[in-house]
Amino acid sequence: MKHSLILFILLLQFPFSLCGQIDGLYQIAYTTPGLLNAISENQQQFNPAASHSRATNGLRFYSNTPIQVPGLFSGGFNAYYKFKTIHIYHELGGIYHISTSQIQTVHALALSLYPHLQIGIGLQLAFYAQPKYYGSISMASGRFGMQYQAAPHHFLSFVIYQIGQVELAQMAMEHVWKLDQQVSFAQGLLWHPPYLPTAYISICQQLSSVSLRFSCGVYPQFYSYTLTFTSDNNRRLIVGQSWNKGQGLALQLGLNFR
Amino acid sequence: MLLLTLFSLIFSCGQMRAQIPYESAQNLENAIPIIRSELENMLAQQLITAEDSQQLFIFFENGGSIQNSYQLQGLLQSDLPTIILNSEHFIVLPPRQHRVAHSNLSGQCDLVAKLPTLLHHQNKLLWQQDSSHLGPAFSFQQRCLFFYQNWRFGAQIAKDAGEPVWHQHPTKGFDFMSAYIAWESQQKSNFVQKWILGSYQIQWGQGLQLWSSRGLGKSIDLLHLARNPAGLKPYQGKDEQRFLQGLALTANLPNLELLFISSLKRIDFKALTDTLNEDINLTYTSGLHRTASEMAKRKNELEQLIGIGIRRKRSLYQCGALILYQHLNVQSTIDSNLILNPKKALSFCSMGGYFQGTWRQLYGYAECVALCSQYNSLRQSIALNAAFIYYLNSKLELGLHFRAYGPSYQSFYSNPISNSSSSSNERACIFQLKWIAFNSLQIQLSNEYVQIPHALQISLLPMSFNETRLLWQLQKSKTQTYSCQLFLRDKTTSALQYRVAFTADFKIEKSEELRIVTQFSAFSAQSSSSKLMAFTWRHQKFSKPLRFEFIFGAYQVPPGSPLLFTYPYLVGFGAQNLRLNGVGTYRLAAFQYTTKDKWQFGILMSSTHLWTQQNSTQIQISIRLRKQF
Repeated sequence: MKHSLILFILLLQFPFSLCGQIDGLYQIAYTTPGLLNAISENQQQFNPAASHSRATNGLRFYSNTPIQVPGLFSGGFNAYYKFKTIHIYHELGGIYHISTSQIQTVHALALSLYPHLQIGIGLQLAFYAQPKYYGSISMASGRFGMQYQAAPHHFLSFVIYQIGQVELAQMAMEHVWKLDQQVSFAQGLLWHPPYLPTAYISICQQLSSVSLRFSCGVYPQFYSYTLTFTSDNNRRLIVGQSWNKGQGLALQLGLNFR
Repeated sequence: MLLLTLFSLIFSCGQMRAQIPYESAQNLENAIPIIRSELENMLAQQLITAEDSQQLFIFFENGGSIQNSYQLQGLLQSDLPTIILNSEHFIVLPPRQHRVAHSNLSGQCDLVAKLPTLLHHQNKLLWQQDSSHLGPAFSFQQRCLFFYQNWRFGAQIAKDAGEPVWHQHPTKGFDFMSAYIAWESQQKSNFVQKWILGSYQIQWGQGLQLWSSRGLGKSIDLLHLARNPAGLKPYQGKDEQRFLQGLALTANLPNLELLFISSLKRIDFKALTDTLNEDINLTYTSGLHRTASEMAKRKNELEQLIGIGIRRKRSLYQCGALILYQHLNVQSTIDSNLILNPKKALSFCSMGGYFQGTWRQLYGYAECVALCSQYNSLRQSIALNAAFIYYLNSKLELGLHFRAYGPSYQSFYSNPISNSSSSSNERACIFQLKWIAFNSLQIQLSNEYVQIPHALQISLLPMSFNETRLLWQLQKSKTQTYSCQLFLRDKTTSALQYRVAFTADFKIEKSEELRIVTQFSAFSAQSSSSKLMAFTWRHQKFSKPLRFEFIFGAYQVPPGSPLLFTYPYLVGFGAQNLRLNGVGTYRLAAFQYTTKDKWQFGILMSSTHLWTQQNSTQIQISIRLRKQF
């Protein structure tokens, strides 16, 4: 029972760009399309090592609303900054549904060990409540991530999630090929061993004031696209839509201040 | 009388040797000899990479020895400039010459202990104990090794998890004990060159007649198609089965080397009625003595071997012949039923000869062994093993191997190229190709066809299959290597099996290494498949006492899917063998700390989580303590 609750929560805990599904076989998967490597933005939300040297401070608000699941909403904010040589990340977020709710906080540190290698560790504390059914549980787990620049235009990332909660352990890796200053291509794999691995590809293009990212993958079948509008004073509006088999459409909205 | 004569000869040789000064000791002061025992030192000083270390380890395990620096070019994966640069720190010496440098007493002591397995289940931490096991659930191995001039002495005691520490029957003592005393001459003119009293191993020919150490089986690399026998060497391993025990010596004749071996050992013999394997080798038990039934088989039979061989060894070729008498003294009434089995004998004599050598661009070997026993005909008891490797040019090498092991052929300790690790009565041929397409890209192909036509048991049917392996290895730079291996096995009795393995190695600076491994395997007739993804981070910095390694892996092997195996090589603990079944994750973490006064401390922690109804996690901790003096 505890696990079914955890699995349900798990697929929603990365609300921005992750897709998840539960089918009749409790199949669950989520993807991080093109987000494990920090190419132009801080991505410590998904990879504790993915800090970016030019995006050292920032504050983000985000929300995610699956349209086909009535009454479900998630949102939160995160902040990142640089302290001496360490990139620090904090996140506070939650998920609300009429039957269950979750509050979680993530704290991560990223350190550049060598010029091309960054490692990061993170701590996740989460509280899951489903008072009318199974009660409440709280859970602590760790994260470990790496980002390695193998060549001037090639980046590799590897992340282990839910360290300490062996039933939920997941690993992800991603390769990004930066084709030029505007276009980058990512391919990745994410795996929670009881289920099929999720493979995805993603393409990002940076235009003058808008950047576009499109991702798609399998198990489960999904696609997502995100538009990021940048204003002159470093404020960014993020609008996105995703679909996956099982959950259907979801809308994302975010604000980013640097 | 014979022993007395031998001992008097040995002592006279030893006295002669003690007066001879070691003339090149000054030059050896800083150089590292390329021998197996120095691999760790070479790795620590970053003269070779971990992969090269493993490659050399396999090479030495298969009986290889480095005769000149050029061999390194073919053996190591590093590029030529790196090898040339690092080879300044190496010295090519036969092992016996290295030991002469130790004019005083030197050696090392090792203690490896594995604590009982911890089970993490429902938020509780429990020691795992099998109620059927009669001994404590920890294992240990204590080894001591001493060098004094050209003498060498080694001893060890060991026990596995669940085994009693002390046994009363049939012989009193620790679960596994072995010891040896060895002497090696430094002068080629001496008649006796080397002798060992106690436990030892021997590698002869291509492993068809006598090869007591274990091999790593077939490899896609042409280099491993032929074996280079190491001859006689002392034994101090943990394997309780594959070694000999007694007196062995090598002697020098004009242009020839004479080998004499004798062994008398109590073994754990498993009756053939317990197994359906069509193995050439005797069927030993696993070596574990944990339960009452396993302990009943402990040292239950007496094995005797005696043999005499002669070998001529030159730089370009070597050939030899061996006559070997092998006898198993069956004492239990159950095992005496074996005599009724017409295919397997318990007492027989084998005669074999081998040749291996190089002629122009061709390297070849052949070994043929015939077995004489009162139960089988000579025609059915012949085994043949031959191979040719042709170096077409610097970028293309071809290899061809052929073997035919007769239906009644057997040996107590053989380890030829074979389909199974314990060898089987089979016929097969292998074609191999190694092509350096570009400087950075190497392609290797291996194709094998195997036939096991002889049913040892009624329940076994003739079987044939073919295996194809294709390997691409791309070395983009010194710091990045990618390899992809495709494996196909088409068996008459089962569906086509295919496996794809991808490995990416990154060397970041000099101390950090990253590795990502993925494997995928399936049977064509099934929809389910086996998958593995693993990540390794190794930190080993020269001049720093601390090294560590961390591995995280996840696997999915559903019922009916092919099993997966992985062999991570851990700092301080060597190769680990992981057999993956079910769905789970594993974590391995190894740390090694070396002090200035040559103490070495290592700890290995592993945890495996298996997704079952119990959802439990197994945790194992091993410690290693080593002192060199």
